Amino acid sequence: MCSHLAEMDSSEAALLDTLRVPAKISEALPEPLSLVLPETLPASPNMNGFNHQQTQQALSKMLKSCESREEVSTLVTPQIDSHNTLNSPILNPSSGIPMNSTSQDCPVSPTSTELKISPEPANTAQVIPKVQYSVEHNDFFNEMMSGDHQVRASYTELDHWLQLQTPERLLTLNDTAARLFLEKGITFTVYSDKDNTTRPIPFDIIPRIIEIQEWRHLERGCSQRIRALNAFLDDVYHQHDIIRAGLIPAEQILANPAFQPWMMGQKLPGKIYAHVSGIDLIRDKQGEYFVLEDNLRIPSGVSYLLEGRRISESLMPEVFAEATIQPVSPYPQLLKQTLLESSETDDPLIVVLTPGRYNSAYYEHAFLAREMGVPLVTGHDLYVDGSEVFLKTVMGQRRVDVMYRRIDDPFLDPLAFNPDSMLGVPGLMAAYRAGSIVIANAPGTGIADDKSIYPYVDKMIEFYLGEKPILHTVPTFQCRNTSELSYVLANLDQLVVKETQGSGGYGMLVGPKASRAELEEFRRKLQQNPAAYIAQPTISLSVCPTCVEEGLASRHIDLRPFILSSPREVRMLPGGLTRVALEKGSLVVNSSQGGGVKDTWIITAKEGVGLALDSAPEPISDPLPDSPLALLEKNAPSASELSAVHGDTAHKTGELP
Amino acid sequence: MILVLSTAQSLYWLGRIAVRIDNLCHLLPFEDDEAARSYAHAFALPAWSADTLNQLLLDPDQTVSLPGNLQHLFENVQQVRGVILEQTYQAFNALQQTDIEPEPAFIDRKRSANQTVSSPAEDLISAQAEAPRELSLQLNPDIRLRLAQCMDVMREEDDRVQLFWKLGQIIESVDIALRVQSTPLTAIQGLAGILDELEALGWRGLDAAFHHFQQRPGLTGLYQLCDLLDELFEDGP
Repeated sequence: MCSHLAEMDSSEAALLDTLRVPAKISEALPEPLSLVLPETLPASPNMNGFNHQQTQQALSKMLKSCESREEVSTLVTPQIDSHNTLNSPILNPSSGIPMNSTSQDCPVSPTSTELKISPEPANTAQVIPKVQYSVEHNDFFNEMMSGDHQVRASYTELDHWLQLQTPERLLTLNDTAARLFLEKGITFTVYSDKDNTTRPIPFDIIPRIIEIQEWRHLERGCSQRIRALNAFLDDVYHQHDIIRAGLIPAEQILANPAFQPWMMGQKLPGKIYAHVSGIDLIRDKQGEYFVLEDNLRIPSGVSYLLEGRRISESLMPEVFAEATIQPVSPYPQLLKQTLLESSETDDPLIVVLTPGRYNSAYYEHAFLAREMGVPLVTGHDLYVDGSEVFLKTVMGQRRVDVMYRRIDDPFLDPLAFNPDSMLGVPGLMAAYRAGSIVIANAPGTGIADDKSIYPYVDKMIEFYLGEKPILHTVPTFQCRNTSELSYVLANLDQLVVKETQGSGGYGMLVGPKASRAELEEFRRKLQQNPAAYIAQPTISLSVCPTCVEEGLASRHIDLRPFILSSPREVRMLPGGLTRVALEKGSLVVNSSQGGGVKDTWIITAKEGVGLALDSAPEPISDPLPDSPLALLEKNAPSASELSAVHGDTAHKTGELP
Repeated sequence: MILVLSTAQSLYWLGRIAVRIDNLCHLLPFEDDEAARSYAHAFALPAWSADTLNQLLLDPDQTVSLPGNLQHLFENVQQVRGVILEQTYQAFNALQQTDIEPEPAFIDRKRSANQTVSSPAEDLISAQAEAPRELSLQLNPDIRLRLAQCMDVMREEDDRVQLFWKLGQIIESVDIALRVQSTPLTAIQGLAGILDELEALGWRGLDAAFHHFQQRPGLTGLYQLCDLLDELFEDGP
């Protein structure tokens, strides 16, 4: 290595290494090398598309074509005019090909690059604009950077890849991803828009990465949670043990709009009600995971996860080659397996019931049906005859054994629920009660993911499973309680208030971000109908690097893993849907309100995919000595107390089978 | 594959509309008033000249128009999204993203540039007295190209999917041919083959209707066959 090379700083040496400049040419390069290179590589369009990649290619070609030191000097010596302007024919800004008039291979461009340099040797610090990601402050847990600004181990490969990118390239990748989503027709409908606007799903190319041991912890926690919730649902629609134990007020369950009297006494295979669930997780400032909410009705978003992964793999193949990332592609087959296991029929016919193409998640319905190889149907394709459900096919009628429904409870059956529903199947609930069909998820699961029930889930885990909760829950104030309502009203500007029956981020108040008028309006709502709301302290959601115009910036995220439950197994897909609030400072990650999605990578050693987590929960027949179930023996309410509750329920709901 | 009846019907209409669009792309723009009147008469369209027919067939508010048929096509694509391959959907999606040329620019060799466009009645009256107006219209060739790509990828679909797609294509081809006073023997033979496959699925009664149609090929016989198909799509075999 020649002397001047030894004096080069590491950035120039790195550049030469990147360019793969032959050793003999390296020795011939003038010093400082920065005179050869533009001080700042333009990334903006006004430089005619001139970019980092073209610079590399141009320089590499130029240097390789040189045979001697003199030739190199001739090529690279800049012509500096009196204005310190480098009038260099080195690089053609439009093609990136050297404008060397002595080389017959290189076309001569009519333009030349004008590069400003200072008379002094330029700063030999890196001149290629790398992707910069700085942690602005430590108020939030940063998924990529630790508190001392070090890249976390799980982000190592991604960091290496980012070091080779430019802000422009990242934006290009994001634009390409957006185009691919559009070509695939992956959209969602914003119902809040007056025109019901259909939009492509905003996707950010930078993934959120979770290390495998951390993920295992989440798997255990989510599995535990869903087992407890399924046990709760079975209890709610049978013995009411948890009510009799005094853990949850009866009216909070039985008078809940999501409580489904049709389900009373219904025996389900394996006592599984929520076959498909999504548990929304966030991280606080310390990096601790909290469950934000449970989704047991019709959790959606898995198709964005699957397509996002496909697109990431196509756009970032080099990262996937380096890192060991758990695949998510088996999800449709895992879902099908879960549905098959939920039926006691041999070779059951599965259908996906959709409200139709105007539904915001229709793409996902069609996607899953196609991937599972099962029919996608609407209510008009089905009919009930003799307590069985039949599908109209081109070869005649076929009995349906399992229905993966993507229609809300009220619209499932006009004879049982909303009589105005044109989406459901008349008589479906009668067939369901007869046991001839499995509906996933079962009607009535909404009682378990109601926000007013959420605060009791830890107790459910202890009560039904005899275990300590693995995942934290966010402290929640039930506004139906007078004392808690008083606290909420007094601290409204510091809390997040949500409707117990709300979803999609609508109908909620983020106190710290609300205006005075919004606070007052919510105060009125709370005072009018406190039982319809819960409140939680504002959690500082963790942040993850996200593509913005300038490169990378921190944006708040959450995570929705998907859990599949059958009588045999509970399975959790290794990788969830990370939702990101794309606006700076925003905490709302819902796509309908400015949020986007990211891929979620589970970085692992060599392990299998979609491992079964636990066996199906055994019925709790022998209460543990210290379990809350033992309380039943002491505190069982009288028959008159129970009938009073049910009678009250009948009055409130006005709808009994 | 278990093919739902309603999906099969959507595939059938997908095939019919695809042929309809292809035919429109082939014919547009009309330049001869006589040919335009003949076409309008055959398809019962309210047009009396090349200009008025072009205007009608490019009007997005008219269901019979090219944009109207494209809209129907995309609606049916959505209906069958659960059975078609991803590449097939992307091909139709690409077609959906393709712009049809903007409204035709009328150039009148005899009238001044500032004169407003006349009413259809005035246009009809003046048609005999004045020199014909010159039409400048370029239909985006990508429409037909991308439609052809859609038809190509449909060949990769499951046999059952293709069966109903082809059924629609052939029915529409026969329909168009009969309307323009030709006898599509090849298409009728193809239809026979398709109907045999449907018989194998249990779709009874089609052979009698088809036999009747073969005896006297005409729109009446064809529509009797189509009515029977509609009943089968509704009630199943």
